[in-house]
Amino acid sequence: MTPGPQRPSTVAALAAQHGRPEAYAYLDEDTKRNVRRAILKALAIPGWQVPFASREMPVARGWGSGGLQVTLSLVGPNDVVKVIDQGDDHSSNAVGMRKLISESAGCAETTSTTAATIIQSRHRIPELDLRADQLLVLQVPHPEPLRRVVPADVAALVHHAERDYTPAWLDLYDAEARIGGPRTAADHPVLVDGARLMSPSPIPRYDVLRLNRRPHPILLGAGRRARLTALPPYIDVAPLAFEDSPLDPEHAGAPCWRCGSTQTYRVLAERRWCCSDIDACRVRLEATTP
Amino acid sequence: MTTNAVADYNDRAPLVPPEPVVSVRRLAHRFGSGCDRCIDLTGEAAGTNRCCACGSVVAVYDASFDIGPHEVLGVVGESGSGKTTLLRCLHLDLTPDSGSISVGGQAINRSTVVMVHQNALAAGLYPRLAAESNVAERLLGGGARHFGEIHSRAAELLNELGLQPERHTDALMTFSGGMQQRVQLARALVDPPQVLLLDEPTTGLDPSVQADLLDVMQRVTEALGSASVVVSHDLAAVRVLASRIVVLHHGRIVEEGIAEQVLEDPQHPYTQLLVSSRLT
Amino acid sequence: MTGSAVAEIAVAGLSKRFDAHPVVLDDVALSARGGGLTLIVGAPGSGKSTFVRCLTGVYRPDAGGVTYRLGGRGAVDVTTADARTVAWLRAHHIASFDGLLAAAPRLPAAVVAARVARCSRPSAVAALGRFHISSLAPVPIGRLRGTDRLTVALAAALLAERPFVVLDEPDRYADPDSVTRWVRRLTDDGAAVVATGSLDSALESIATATGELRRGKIEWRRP
Repeated sequence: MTPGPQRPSTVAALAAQHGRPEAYAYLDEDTKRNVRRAILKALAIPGWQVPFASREMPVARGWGSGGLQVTLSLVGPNDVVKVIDQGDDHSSNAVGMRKLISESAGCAETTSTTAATIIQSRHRIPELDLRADQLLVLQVPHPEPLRRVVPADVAALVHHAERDYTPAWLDLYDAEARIGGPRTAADHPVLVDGARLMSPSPIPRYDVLRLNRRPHPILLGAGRRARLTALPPYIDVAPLAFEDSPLDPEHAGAPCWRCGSTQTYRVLAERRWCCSDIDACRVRLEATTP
Repeated sequence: MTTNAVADYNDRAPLVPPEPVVSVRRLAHRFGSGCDRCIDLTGEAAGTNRCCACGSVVAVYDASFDIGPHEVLGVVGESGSGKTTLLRCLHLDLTPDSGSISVGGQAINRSTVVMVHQNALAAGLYPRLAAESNVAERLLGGGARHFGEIHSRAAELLNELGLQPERHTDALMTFSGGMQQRVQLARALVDPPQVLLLDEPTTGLDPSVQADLLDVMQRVTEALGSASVVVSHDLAAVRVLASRIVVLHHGRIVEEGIAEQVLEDPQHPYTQLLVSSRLT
Repeated sequence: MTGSAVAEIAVAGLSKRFDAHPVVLDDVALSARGGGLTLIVGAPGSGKSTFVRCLTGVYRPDAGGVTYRLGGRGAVDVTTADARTVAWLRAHHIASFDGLLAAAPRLPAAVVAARVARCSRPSAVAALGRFHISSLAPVPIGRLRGTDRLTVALAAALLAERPFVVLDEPDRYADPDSVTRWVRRLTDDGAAVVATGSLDSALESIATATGELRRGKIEWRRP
C-alpha cells in the first residue's frame, strides 16, 4: 500500500487509504443497529428501560457515553448537532463530544437551539421550545427510578413488571411528612402514560414540569448501566406527586443579571443569579435589546 | 333479661359456631429432599423432627385446624416444634409440600393476611422511615394518593395505639420494642385483614410493656374481627389473647382445646410438661 | 315455662380422677332445666370445683357426657364436641364462674366484666355495684386482690344474659343475699343454673334441686 500524497485528516480517510471500511460516525454498523433497535423498542414502550449492548466510548462511563451512543447511531451528514452541559455549550465535555460527533459524522455543529436538529444535553432541557422535527437526547447516569428505595436490580424489575411503585410513593410520603416536600433536587421520578415510573435524568424540577406532551421525541441513554428509555411525541409525563401536593419548580433569588428574566431556571454563578440555558438567555437578550 | 328471655333467645347467636374463615387441612412441609421413611421416623413418637435415614427435617406434618371470625387461636410449642414453619406457610413466605390453606373458601393470598412480627425491624418494616410512613405504606399500597388524607388516617391509627403525635415522624428504629409492635398493629388496623398472625408479640419485652401490649392487642383483635393466630412461648399471654390453643410437638399437633382446658387440664404428656414448666 | 325454647344441662355418667388421687367424680348425673337452680353442696375438697369445670369444658372428664340442650335448636355434648364449638358455647351461651379469669392486667375491672359478658360498660359498672364494689370499676384488674378479681368475674358471669349458667361457690365471693337475689332473677328469666356451694349455702333456699357431693357421688336431698 502506498500512502497518499497528503496526510489524511480523519480516521475515515486514513482507513480508506489502507483499503479498510471505516465506521461512519465512529460507531460500527452492528452497534448502531443494536442501539436503533433498542430505541424503537423504547419508543414503543414509553418509560420502560430497554437494555442495549453499550460500547466503550472515548468519554468516561457516567459522563455521557449513553447519550453519545444514541446520537451517533442517529446522526447523518445533514444534521446540525448541539451539545450542552447544564445549559452550557462550552464546557470541556460538551465541546469534546460535539467535535467527536461532527467530525466523525461529517455534519454541522451549532450552539443555537433553534438551528439544531439533534440536541444532546446533560442536566437540562433547552428552554426554547423545540419543534417536532428536532430530537432531544438526554444523558442519564442512573436510569433506575427506584434505586434509592429498592436496592436490588431484580427486585426493582419485579416492581416495574407489576407496576407496584409503592416504594417510590412511600419515599415521597416520608419526605413530605418529615421535611414538607420531596428530597429529590434533581431526577424526580415521573410517571409516563400514567403507568410506568421513569427517571427523567438529573434535570431540575423546573424541567421535569416541562416534559409533558412535547411535540418531539426524547431519548434517554445510560451508557454505564446500558439502558435506553424513550418518550415518543405527545406522551403524558407527570412527576410522581400526591394529589394535594404538586411538585414546585425551584425558586431563584433574583432575576437573571443578563436578560432580566424571572421565569427561567436560574443558577448562582459567582454570587449572581443568571439563566442556566445560555443560548436561551442570549435569544431573550437579543429580543429585548433594540 | 325480660321474662321468658330464653324464648326470646331464639334470635340470638346460633348454637354452633359459623363457618370458619381460615381452614387448614393436613398441612405438611419438609426441609430437605426426604425419603419414604421420613414420616415414620419423625414426629412426637420418635421424639424428633429429623429423619435419621436422610437427615431431612419434617417441620410440620398433618396439621389441620379452623379459625372463625373474631377468634384467636394460640399456637404453643418449643423451638423446633414447627410453629415458625406453620406461620410462614400461613403468611405465604413458604409453600407447603402438601395440604391446603383456604380463606373464605378460596385459596389464601397475600392481600388477606397481615403478620405482626416479633421483631418489627427484621420484618419488612422500614427502620429509617418515620413511624407514620410505615403505617402509610399500607394505605399507599392500596392506591391512596392524597397526602392529607393518608396523613390524618395514619396519625389517627398511631394515636389510637398510644403513640404520641410529636413522635409520629421519628424513624421507626428510634422506638422501643413495645412501640414498634404498636406500629405493626396500627398497620394491621389500616385495612382489617381476614387473617392476622402474631409472632411472639410479647417475647423479649419488659413485663410492664407486655401488660400494656396485651391490652392493646386484645382491643385490636376484637376490633378487627379477623381470624387470628398467636404464636408464643409465653403461656400467660396466649391465655389472655386466645380462646383456643393447639400444641405443637415435633411438627405434629398433639393437643387442641379451649385455652383454659389446655392450660388447666392438659391431656398430652408434652402439654403437661409445657404447662408445668411455667413459673408461678 | 312458656315458649318452645327450653334450656337444659344434662350430665350423665361423669367420672374424673387426677393422677394418683382417688376418684373425684364417680358416675355423676344430673338434669338441670331452665327456670330452676340445681345446687350441688359439699364439704371443702369434695370435688365441687372439679365438677363445675367438667361442666364448662375446662376439665376433660375420663368418662361421661355433658350435654347442653337449647329448645328446638339442638344440643352439644362438650365432652365430645370439637374445641371450636366448645369455645363458641362458652363465649355465647354459657355463663360460667369457675375460679379462673384471664384478662390483660391493665384493663379496668368494669371493662373486663363488660367484655366477658358482652354487654356495655355502664351495665358492668351497675353489676359491680350490686356487689358493692362499684368503686373498683376503674381499677386495672391486675391491681385487684385475688378475691376481688373473682368477685368481678362472678359479676360478669351473672351479668351475661345466657341460657346456661354454671357457678362454683358464688356465695363465697360476694354477699350471699345479693347472690341469691340475682340467681333468683336469672332462674325467673328461664336460665338453667347449676351452682355449687358449701354445706350451709344460702342458695339452698331458692334451689329447685339440691344434692350433696360426697366421695364422688351425688346424694340428692331434694328431687
